[in-house]
Amino acid sequence: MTGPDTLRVESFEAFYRRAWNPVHRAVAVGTGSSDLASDATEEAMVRAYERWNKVSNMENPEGWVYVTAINWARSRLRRRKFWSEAPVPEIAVDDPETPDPKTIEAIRHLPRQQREAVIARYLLDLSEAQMAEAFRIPKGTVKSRLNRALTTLRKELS
Amino acid sequence: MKVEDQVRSALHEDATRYSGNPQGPEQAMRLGARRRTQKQVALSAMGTLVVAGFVWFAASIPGNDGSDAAGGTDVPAVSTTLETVPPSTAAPTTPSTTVPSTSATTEPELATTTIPVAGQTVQVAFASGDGSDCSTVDFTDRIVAETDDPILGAFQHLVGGPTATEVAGGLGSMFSPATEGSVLSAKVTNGLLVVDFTDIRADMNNASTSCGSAALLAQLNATAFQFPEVDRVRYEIEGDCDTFFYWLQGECQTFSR
Repeated sequence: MTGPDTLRVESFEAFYRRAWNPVHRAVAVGTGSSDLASDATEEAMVRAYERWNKVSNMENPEGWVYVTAINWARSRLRRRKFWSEAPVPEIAVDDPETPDPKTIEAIRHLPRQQREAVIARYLLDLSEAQMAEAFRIPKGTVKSRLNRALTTLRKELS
Repeated sequence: MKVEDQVRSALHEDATRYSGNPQGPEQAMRLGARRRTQKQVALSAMGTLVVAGFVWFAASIPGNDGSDAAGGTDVPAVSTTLETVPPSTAAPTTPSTTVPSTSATTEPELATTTIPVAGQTVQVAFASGDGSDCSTVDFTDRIVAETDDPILGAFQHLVGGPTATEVAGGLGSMFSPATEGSVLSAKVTNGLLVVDFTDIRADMNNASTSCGSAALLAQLNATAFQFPEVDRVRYEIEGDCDTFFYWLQGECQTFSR
């Protein structure tokens, strides 16, 4: 293997080992399903390697992988809904045991974009700038999604 | 406790309940590398088709028989190519029943206009012109099955891009086989058509330039407004209008006739 290829492989391996668990957990918290999150994270990692020259130069590749994974998970749920006679919820909760059920329930009932923003900000600890890059939306939109989400959560949890 | 802290703490606690089994970076790298290779092969095949279409088109120009008649001495490349690649072998192999004539004097026909399939004819708009106006489009026909929704069908054809024959005939688009199947939905409610795409941004790199976005929106709007029931149209990526227009360096908007 040539020099640049070795570097490419090494940097991806290190990224994979560092980012897989945080991304998996973020997707699992958002979807309520560890299995779906595993599939989504693996798929997002494959796509990341496919475009590794580009993704590795991002300020926060984890953010890109997270957004790719949740988009994939959502289309998977949509396909399931399409093929299934029974309604499939947007969130596929496997396990009802949650340490703080009230807060988690409130987060899960947020509109999708707000929920994804809250998880990216408060679980993955992405900055607003990193979120704007990952979601490919303006920073102002990130702020307004977070503000709207927090306003709702304040009301729900008070 | 501030709500931000409460949310952070609940999320971190909840996250500890989930543990997955990563398959390892080797698997991801193997699949990623394979897909990259497949994409490169597909792009290369597409490039060959475009070149073949160009050669065939050049051959179909009256008088372009390898002599200087077509353009004097400033186009020797065409003459040279025609000698090495006969028009009959260069004709694109699109699934058309009207394979272009190999006669050097016949104008190219659009491949899809005479496909003998029962269905409804819709039009899709692709970029055309000499490039002086990025929003110039021309229409070409497509057939949508009688039982299918014509609006959704038209957009599904649009995102598949022009055929090699159409490209040779002067149409162009950033849509290509790479964006095929990227329409999630196209629904009209009270005159408002909302077209939702998958995340096509990575496959359409030039769309965010001013000329690129003008060309893209012109093709989308022209395709949308052929349908009389559509008064206004909005575009989304994965259900998000902001994402679509931020990609084009603008803000979410609705277009009217």
